[in-house]
Amino acid sequence: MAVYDHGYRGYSGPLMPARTRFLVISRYGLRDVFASKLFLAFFAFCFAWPLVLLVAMYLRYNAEALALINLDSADLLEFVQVNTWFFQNLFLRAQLYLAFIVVLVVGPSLVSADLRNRAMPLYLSRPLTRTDYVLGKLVVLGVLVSAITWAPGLLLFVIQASLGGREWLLEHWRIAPSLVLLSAVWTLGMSLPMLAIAAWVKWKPWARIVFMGAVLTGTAFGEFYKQFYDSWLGSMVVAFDVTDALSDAVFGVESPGEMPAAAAWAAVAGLAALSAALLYRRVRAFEVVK
Amino acid sequence: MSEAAPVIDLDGLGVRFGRHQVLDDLRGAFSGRAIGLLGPNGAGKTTLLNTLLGFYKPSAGTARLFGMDIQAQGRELRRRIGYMPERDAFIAGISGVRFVRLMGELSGLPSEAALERAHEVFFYVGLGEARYRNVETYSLGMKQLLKLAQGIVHGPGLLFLDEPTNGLDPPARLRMLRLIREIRDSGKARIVVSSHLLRDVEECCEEALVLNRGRIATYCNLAEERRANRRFLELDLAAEREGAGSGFRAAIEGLGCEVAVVNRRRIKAVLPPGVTVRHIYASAIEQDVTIRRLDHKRTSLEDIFLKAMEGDDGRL
Repeated sequence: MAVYDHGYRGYSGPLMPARTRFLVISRYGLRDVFASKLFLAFFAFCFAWPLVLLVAMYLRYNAEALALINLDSADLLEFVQVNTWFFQNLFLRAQLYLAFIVVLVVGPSLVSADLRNRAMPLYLSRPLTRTDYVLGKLVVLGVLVSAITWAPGLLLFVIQASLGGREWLLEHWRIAPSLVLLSAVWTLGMSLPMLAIAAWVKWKPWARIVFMGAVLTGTAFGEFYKQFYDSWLGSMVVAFDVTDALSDAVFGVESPGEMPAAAAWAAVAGLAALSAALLYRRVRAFEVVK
Repeated sequence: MSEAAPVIDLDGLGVRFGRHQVLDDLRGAFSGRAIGLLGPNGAGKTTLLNTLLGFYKPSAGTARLFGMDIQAQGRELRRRIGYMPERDAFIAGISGVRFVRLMGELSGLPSEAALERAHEVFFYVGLGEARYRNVETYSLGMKQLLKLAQGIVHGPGLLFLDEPTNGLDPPARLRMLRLIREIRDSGKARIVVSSHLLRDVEECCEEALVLNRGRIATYCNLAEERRANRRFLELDLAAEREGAGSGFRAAIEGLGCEVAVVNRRRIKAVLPPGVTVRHIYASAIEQDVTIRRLDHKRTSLEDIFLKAMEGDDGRL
């Protein structure tokens, strides 16, 4: 079947392992995402804040550089305390807002077009399961979110550890796994609902609107419930409250909110389970009409 | 995958959607190079293909492809199967060659091999010049060929084609049928064609499985049917002299033909092996009989199909 030989022939060459086949979907997904120059520019912008923090960290330990810009190192040491709060609030909280936008922009384009153009039979007629398909799409969001959350976070952590020394590292070692864990849980908690909504709505702009609507409606309802019944239960549907409670639990700091960490974990697990169920109802080769 | 095993082995296969029994107790082993799945709309052709592909779970029984169970070894089987769905199906926003390459990689081909095969199949199906175009800009006929290309990119041993000529104009339809015949004759892949177009199945299949209301209505070997038809003759005679007709009958009976007399001028005969139409003409000359019309029996697939569709009362 070579280009010059127009006859049919089979394929008897080597095959890739089946277990990692879902990564093909991820690879193609990522390439499509970065084909957009606008997204590429936004993604580059996502690294601006970590860069600012990196510069601040560097200056904090470099008196000569500070002198060049007429700053007193004592002032900066006072102003930029590189501790758990720095990584949890100054770095990760800001990055999670950007990650929310990434999920909102990229998520719908991963699934809705496949369902709208009836591509599912093509995927599932290959040695690929529905779980592989969903996993492949989740990895795309996972890579993007990781690249702007825990990956630069760990880089900042390593640099700070090298600047701050052994004492600082022993005191703050928990920051590193916390960055990874919170980012991973947050990615799952946001990506699965986004993919589920995209699978049901099948049209990207509408999927984004529905997702935003769900977040805002949850927040409004939760805040109303909290005020009206004077109960933290309303926080279960407020994305920011759940994120804060989880964040405090993971980083091991005292939470100013009333919501218990167990409730936050339950809220994320429930949301992920519901989203996965909804997603699996849609991600199939053909709709069965009973 | 055992090549000696039947291509499709149905073992009491049943599929039920809610209270609706779509396929009911399908049994049989089919081994042809190209098997046609025929039946009226709603007969269960597409459901059977989808069940064999693992899209639907059987409610009863099972099926084997090349001896491999569709449920227990579904993943392994799907590596060896190519599938061309009936309706438009593509991945939006990418070029044709990238789409087919992706499908190849999902079937297990390494990236470079998938790219090479994608280019090859594009030229093979005749879309070589359009391979860098976005698939959304393809015409209906091009999309059909694209679906075929993605179905064969990984060199499957079994190819499921669901209504492959749907929406094609006559030249495109002929091209599609030619490609199917070529793949069949290459011996590299067995083909199952689901179609409600009898002509398409007749032109590219060797066997036909007719479904009706979720059951197997009939199964016939078209190649054997064609061979049998060629041995069956119907003759209209014009005798030049009294008794010539009976003399001619006796003469061809003497050749070993089985002869049945319809009326004084028309006879039917079955040729034994070694006897050809040339011998019949020679006998006619000897007996001074003019053969006005000589026809092979024409039991078409349409006849077989209509007979299979008949109810017990003989109505369709």
